Amino acid sequence: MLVKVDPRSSEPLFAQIAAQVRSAIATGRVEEGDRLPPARDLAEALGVNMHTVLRAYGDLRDEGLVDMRRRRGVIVRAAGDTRARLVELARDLAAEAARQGLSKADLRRLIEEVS
Amino acid sequence: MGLEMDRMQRLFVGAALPALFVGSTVLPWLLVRGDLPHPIAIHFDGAGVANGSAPLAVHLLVTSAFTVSASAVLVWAAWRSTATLGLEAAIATFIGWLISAVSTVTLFANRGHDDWRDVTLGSGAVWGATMSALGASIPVALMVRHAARDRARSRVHRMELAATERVAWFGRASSLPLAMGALLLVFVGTVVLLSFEGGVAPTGIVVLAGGLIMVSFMSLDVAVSDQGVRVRAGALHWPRVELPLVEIEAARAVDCKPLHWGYASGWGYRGSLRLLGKAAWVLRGGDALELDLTGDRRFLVTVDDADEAAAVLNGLLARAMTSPTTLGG
Repeated sequence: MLVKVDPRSSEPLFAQIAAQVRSAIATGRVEEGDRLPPARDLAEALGVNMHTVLRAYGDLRDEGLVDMRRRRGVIVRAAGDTRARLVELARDLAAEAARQGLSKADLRRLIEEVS
Repeated sequence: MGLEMDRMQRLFVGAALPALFVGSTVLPWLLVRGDLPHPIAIHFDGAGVANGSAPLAVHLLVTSAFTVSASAVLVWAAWRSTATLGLEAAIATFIGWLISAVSTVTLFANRGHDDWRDVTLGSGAVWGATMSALGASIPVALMVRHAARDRARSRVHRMELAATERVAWFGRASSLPLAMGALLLVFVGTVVLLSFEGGVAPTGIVVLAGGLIMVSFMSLDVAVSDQGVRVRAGALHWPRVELPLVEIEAARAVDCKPLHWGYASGWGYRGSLRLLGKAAWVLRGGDALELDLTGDRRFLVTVDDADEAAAVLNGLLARAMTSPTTLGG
């Protein structure tokens, strides 16, 4: 698994790390059941604070991409979850937008603004 | 290119020897089984007096475990299409021969006695078995002709890295056969320790210890970063190899063939960086990362996706060359 970060980028390091791991999972470089490198090892290799890595891992866990186990470490969950999660979020967003009276065009514009 | 055995040699190593080992486990038992004490004597002191015993079934089980494993190695070495390995075949021959000879001699020594304590077996028999085992393994080792160093197509890549980018690569390799071998040794060692009386306990401890050491070679982790390359055994995190970036001159991905002669032949940790300047950590054939080190040294480690590892490493090296201040740290 490859992780590349640039401290000069405006994106915070933990977000870059999370994005790299997400990409590795999406492209199949890391598969379900594989263990991610321990936070301490990744932090040491990248020369960043361990809590930065832990934050990235925490975000991935909250997204349902990985499980964090006491002794086993950080394990990748089925990649199928990510798409389903995305669809779920989109549905929630569409429902809330409709409740607030946004048209589809408004919603599209909003998404463009934030992404 | 590679190592070749002709047909006669293949038959000898792959069929005749295994048949001999398995046969000499089964045949003596068939011949004398009605005539043995229960349990049988299996260990003898310096004077030839029995001081260790075991149930016949356990003795046969342990013997079979070794002879069948040794035979499996020989069959596999002989019948693979391209190559055979000298060291492993010689060791398998030695072990298979030794175990089956000792077992045969032990069974015949037990014959005709009512109590295992009456059985005697002079140390000459064991020495004879050991010497003949050595004698048998030498021709097998000599059957292997050295191949020229495998100039296999190696793959060199380099990843472009910006000056401020930080990169880390993690990979691993594992071997199911080695894991199973470790389990087998631990099992056999424990059985020997628990069920034998008397002087056999040290043997059990040795086998058990061997199995536990093999646990270190079930899997490995590799980390590549601007700190260099770190290889660590998966289970126990030992052994470890740490090579700082300053000591690495080049990296490439190669196809490792443990059956071919060379510094990376065989499985496990081969060679020594300090003593021989060359070392290889081999868990399986296939993808491997090969490093050229300072002082004409070389290191190889089998790891999945070695191409990517080499690319990252070469990228780090190239960047370190253009901006020396980022070296080390």
